[in-house]
Amino acid sequence: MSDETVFAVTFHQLAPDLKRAGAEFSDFDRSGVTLDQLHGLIERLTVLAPIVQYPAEPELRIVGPQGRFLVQARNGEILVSSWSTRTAGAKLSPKQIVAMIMGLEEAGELPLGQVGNATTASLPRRWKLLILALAVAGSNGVTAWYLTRPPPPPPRELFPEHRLLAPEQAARVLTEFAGDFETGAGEGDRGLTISPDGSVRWIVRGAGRSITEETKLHARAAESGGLLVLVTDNFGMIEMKDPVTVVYFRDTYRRQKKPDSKPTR
Amino acid sequence: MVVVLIISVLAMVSVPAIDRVKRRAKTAVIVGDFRTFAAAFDGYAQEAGTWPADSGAGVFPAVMAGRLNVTTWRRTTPMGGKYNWESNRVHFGVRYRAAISITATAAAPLVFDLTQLQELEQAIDSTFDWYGGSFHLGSGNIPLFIVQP
Repeated sequence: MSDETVFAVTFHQLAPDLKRAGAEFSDFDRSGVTLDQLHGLIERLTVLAPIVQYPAEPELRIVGPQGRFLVQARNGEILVSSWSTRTAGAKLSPKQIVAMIMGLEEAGELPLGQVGNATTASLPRRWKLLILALAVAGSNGVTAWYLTRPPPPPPRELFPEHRLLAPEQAARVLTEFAGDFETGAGEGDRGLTISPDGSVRWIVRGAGRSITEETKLHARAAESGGLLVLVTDNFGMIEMKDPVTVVYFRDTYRRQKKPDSKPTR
Repeated sequence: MVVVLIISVLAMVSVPAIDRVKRRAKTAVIVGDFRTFAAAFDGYAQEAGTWPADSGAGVFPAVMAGRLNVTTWRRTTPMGGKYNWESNRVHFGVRYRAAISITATAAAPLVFDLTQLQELEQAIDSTFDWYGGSFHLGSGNIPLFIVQP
């Protein structure tokens, strides 16, 4: 299966063997030029360029799968121009010119003398697209993660490390903690009501034992530093110092009454 | 594709930067509010010889009418929650005579934001001591501005 890339080349003011240049040479078309042959033609034009004499303006007009290219010998150098690649009068080496004509960015990617195959030549571009797509996905992923990430938990000095207990043991610990606790009976004192189901009512007392503030929380039984504790969903830890004393946010609460274990009607 | 990549990278870099700027702006507003409110409560205490009675989160202390902007006091703070005048309340085992906290309410939840709290601590006290200076961490890990210890 032959899938070799071929080019059509028009010689302008050039001898067919590219050994001489002059206005006396009429345009000459050559089709079916292979990649290696094209490279050879450009190499020969490069050799010819320093000896071209005014008013001769020799050039190779190349048509290939990647578009139309113009390789000119001017002022002892060869210049390449192409509308397809937005190039005007670029000074490149023959290998770089062939790479540009093949649609490759790097001359090192050029399959000269080996393959000259369009499918193979387009493979690096696919890789580049894939890398670009991965980079776009990666950077967007980082942005999405940043915007949706949960807030970091408090540091250990505020919320010590703990391990949640299994349901059976947790139920026993919650029952043990359950009850009403207060820091005092005055204005500004706090109260805690812990239920065996883990619901916690946290209040602030106002004048005459009124309630100024009430917060509803949920607690889970855990073990922290060898102690059985309750962990609340506002990053707090209720520690039991003895059967009638608990500490919550370093405030000491005293048990007010035993929890009523019998359901009320 | 290159343009899309450039836009993606710019977004990746700028989103955290915008976040930082927003947080600094919130810090500036809260610090300004704390200082303005504290000065107003202090002025009242100088004249009346006592601090206003404790009030709930977002509740405007009636005696402060004409001294404090009601709308500013009642609005949700830039970090969530409501301003709360506290008198004789216990926080982390210490009773404070007068303080202003930011407290969560049902309508204005307060999400724990360590970075925001650290910025407030740095802006008010220039140190990192959660239980010293004018800015404290109150019970419930809430922002607490001490007017009188």
